[in-house]
Amino acid sequence: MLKTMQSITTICIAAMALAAHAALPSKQVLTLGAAKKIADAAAVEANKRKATVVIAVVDDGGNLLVLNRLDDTQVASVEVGIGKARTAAIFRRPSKVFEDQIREGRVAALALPGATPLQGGLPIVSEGRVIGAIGVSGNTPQEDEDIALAGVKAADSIIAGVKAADSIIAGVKAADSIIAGVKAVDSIIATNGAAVTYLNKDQVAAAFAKGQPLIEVPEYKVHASRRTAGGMVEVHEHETDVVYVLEGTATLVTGGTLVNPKIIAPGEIRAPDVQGGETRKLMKGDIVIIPPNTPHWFKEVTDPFLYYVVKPIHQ
Amino acid sequence: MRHILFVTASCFAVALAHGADAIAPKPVLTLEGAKQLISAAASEARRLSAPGGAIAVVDDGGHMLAAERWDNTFAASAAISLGKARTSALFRKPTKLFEDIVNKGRTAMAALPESLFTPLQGGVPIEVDGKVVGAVGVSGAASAQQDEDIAVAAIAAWKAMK
Repeated sequence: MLKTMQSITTICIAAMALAAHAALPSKQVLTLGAAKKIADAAAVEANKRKATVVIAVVDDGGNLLVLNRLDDTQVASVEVGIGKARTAAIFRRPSKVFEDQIREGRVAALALPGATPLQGGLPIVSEGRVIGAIGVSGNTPQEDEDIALAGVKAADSIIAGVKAADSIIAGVKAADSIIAGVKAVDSIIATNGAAVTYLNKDQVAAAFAKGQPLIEVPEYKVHASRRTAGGMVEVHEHETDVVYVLEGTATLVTGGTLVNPKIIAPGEIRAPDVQGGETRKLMKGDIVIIPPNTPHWFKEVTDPFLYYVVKPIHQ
Repeated sequence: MRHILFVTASCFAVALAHGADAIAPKPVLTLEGAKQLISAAASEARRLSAPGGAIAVVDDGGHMLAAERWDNTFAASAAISLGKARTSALFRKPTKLFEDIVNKGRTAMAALPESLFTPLQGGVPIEVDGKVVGAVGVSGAASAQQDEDIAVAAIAAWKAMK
């Protein structure tokens, strides 16, 4: 009897899990990082054509993710650009479809709620589903759409890249070093001409006395870190931690599965504990490099534990 | 007749003199500047461990130059950040001022049209050489105060960059 009850319970739980899965399938979401690349690709195309336009990228609900108004673009294009993008997102088709319908006599399409029936908005599609859209306004209707198309092509290659990256993670790791190489070249180009930063030893010592960030810019952060006790498990989605131990010892756990993780900021996850992972004892002179998306936990430290951290940011 | 001509000529002279005063140069915020402000705001949001955020940068007419909504930030924040920035640019004041005015009893001010007025803390004007050239609006951080802190810090960091 008890055994039957148990197996019924098991079946019920399994069925509920299945039902929950059916009720909550997952969807692809456009990130800000991808949206910016899409807008940038469209801006490159616009600049090539010497076109002054507004470029808007929205999510699948038609809400704005990124907007760029190129210099000297008429201001009215802001609303029109967002409107075209929203139309393509929420109606899941190019906004030109409605412009054509109206021209061909279906004037009633003007009454569609939330639609800007003007050519220049194109949906962004991943795995057959609309995950967002791009809208361009400011030039001729055809040119607006052509510029939007450059954004869509960038989106397609990002989506294809994500898929390729998935298969790389599954097996080959060789591409990582190629990507790292490309990124290094990118950052050389990006930082070329930037000012030199100098911090004298007193400034550095003062920062280590309290445990403070030394520099935080969009490309990287440099921290003078001081710990007096163990901390939370941390995961940075966009930062590599390059750690150099200056004083004290620590027990560092890396990898494993987070227990009760919480997102505390964009790209920043914290957890009180981790299951599994690799444990290391760190001491003065050691260097550890923790890649993005890797759980790491200073579980126990001596008071004080001082370490210098450089954090390249990968957007 | 000569008299009328003289008067007409004087009028022209006055108009011309006026014209020289009426058209004056003013600094204009570019897309590049707007992007730098957004980047500075993102750094500040990371430093404050903000749970999310949307930022809009508008010109002196309240028209958007650039905007970003960070991952996992609620969708409405994009429109709210624009409203805050626009209000701040058009009234040339931080929006906290208007939130305070409405909260302290001048509720009627909330009746101003939404195209003009979002009386919520988090919009801060950008002043260059004593002139408002635009504004920054932030929404979606931990609180209205943090929204404003991010906008203020972004403008300060951006001015330090120049």
